[in-house]
Amino acid sequence: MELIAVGLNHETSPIEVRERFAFSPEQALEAMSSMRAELGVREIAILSTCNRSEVYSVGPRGTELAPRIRTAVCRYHGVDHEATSSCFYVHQHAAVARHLLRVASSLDSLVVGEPHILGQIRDAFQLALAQQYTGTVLNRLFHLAVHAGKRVRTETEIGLRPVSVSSVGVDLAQSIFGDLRDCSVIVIGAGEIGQATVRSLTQRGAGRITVANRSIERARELARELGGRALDLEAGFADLRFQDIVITSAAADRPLLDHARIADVMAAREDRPLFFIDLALPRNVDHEVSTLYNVFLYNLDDLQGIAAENRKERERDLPRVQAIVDEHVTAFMQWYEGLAVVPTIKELRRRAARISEDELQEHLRRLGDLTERDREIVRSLAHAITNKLLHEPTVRLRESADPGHLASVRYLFDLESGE
Amino acid sequence: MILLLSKWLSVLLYAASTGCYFRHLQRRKPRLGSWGTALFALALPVHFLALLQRGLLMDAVPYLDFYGSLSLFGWMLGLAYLLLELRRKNKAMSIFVLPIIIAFHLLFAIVPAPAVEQKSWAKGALFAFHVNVSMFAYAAFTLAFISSVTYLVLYRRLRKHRPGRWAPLLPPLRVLEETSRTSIRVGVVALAVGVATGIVRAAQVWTEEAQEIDAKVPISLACLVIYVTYLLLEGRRGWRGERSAWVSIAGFSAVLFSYTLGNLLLSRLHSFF
Repeated sequence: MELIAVGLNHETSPIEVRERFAFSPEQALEAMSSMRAELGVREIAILSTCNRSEVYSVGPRGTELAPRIRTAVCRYHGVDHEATSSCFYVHQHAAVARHLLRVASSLDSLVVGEPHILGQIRDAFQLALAQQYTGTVLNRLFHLAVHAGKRVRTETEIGLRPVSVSSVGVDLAQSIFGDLRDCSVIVIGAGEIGQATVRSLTQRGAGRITVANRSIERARELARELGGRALDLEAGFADLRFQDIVITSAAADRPLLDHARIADVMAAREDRPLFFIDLALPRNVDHEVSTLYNVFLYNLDDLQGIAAENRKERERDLPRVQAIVDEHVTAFMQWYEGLAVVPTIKELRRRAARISEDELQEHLRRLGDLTERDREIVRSLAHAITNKLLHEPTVRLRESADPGHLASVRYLFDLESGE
Repeated sequence: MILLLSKWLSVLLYAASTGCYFRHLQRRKPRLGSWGTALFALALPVHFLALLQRGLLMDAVPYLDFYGSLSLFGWMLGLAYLLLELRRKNKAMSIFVLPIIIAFHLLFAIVPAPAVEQKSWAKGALFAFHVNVSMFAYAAFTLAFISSVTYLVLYRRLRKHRPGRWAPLLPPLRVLEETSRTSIRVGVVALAVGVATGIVRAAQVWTEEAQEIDAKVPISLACLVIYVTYLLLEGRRGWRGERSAWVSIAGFSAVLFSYTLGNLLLSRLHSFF
């Protein structure tokens, strides 16, 4: 029995390659079904996210499983096997457990500490489990991975602080306003990072979105996409008094919003807080604006500074995350190696039970007329002796899982060879 | 025996609750937060039982001495906080409120109930209502004070672009401001009712003493004026944020003065000793 993982991720392959190997849930089901039939594997699960496509499998030993899985994956996606061979990695035995646990803990993610991977692992496992494509080994491994991932998130602070500019901006908005459903957001300009920030805000509940842009057509297009209303730039500036969060990402040589204009806005809004996220370079909001009462002004440098600080905080927790991963890998490997002794123990017990039963029948016959109660006592005696004699060797075999001990037991008790 | 049990049990429950709240905020474990709330909700009736037992032991209202009064104040603060937590679904203020409650309740638990002089006017439902409602006002002002100080700390950190690791755990500025405002509104009504019932009770029972005004009365009215000013500035001038927080802090300084120096040194009829 061989535990194996074959896959590619953001470290081994560019996005152009990764997108060709991505599996939708339907495709994953189809691929798992065909690989099971074609490769004769006992268990299989496919994990496919935007950063990785991986096949986890348990199959017969010595069958060149890794290259066959890689070939099958390439064939499924219609990709040249030779051209992409350098993109793939292969893990075997303990390395598979370590890899999946690192993935679940987000140590293998593009952004360490990102929260989505755990849900993706759970979904991939559920998909395979529902079709009974997983069995004893992968069930245990995926359960442990999810458990380790949860522990990492609850016992360490690796995922607590945001590390992207847009999520830092959203966190700050929540520190000021709390529930973003009550907030109005205006995005001035149509920069990519500005759009990403608005999307992060809407994901956390911000409802009233306005897009202001020099080109009203572009504003309308973006507003449609973001589910908001569109204004031209001047109308957008006039609308600031009704807004709570202002995201600026317009191309301009000099600040579009100066101290005097925002002072008027603040007077009109009776000093209700106004949060500027200035993502433009050169900046769209004059730095002097930050001196106004109840104005919070963050530019790209401020946000990146906080993100960098958060990243450092996350890195400080890496040894603790690694310790949780190690603990789970050890637990899994102890259990996994213990699996190898199961057939021997079963066979040993079967043999002992057969001998005990034969001897019992023989002696019951020789004892002659016994009451049913006496027969029962003799039966219990035979079973008790057998069980007590086998108990200690069984426990020790499970604990050591040493192939040498296993061979000795098989030799001493003349058990049939087999896995 | 019941008093001994209930006062120490409530201290233990408060301490356990603080531990749960703290770990919840530190590690963001919702289950620990729920435990914190549950233990806190359990501590409040046990604390009340301790107050009740002390009252029976003294054959007087339990807040007739300073430590009983502190403990009642702690209980009121706890009640006000719990209502706020259930309404706002934010537990961050717990780590500021609970140490105050524990400190006051510990004093109450350690110092034995004194033999107090039974004053005729310190009896009756109106007196009890006057004291309780005034205490509740102080508790509300304390919550407003804690919210305002937290607001100022968070506001300054956000303005300086240094939110720090605790910022996401604290209630947002808007919530802190609303908490402070709501607490002050409740406190002003309660204190006004407290002062009014005090005046009515004084008119009923003070005869010789009432010939001169007790120092506690103008001090309480001064507190009331500061908080009414807060509400007027907020309602009419649209004062918000940092400025309002400072007025709230000024109001609480007056409350603190009223409750400590006012009660202990300046007041003749509100003195505990």
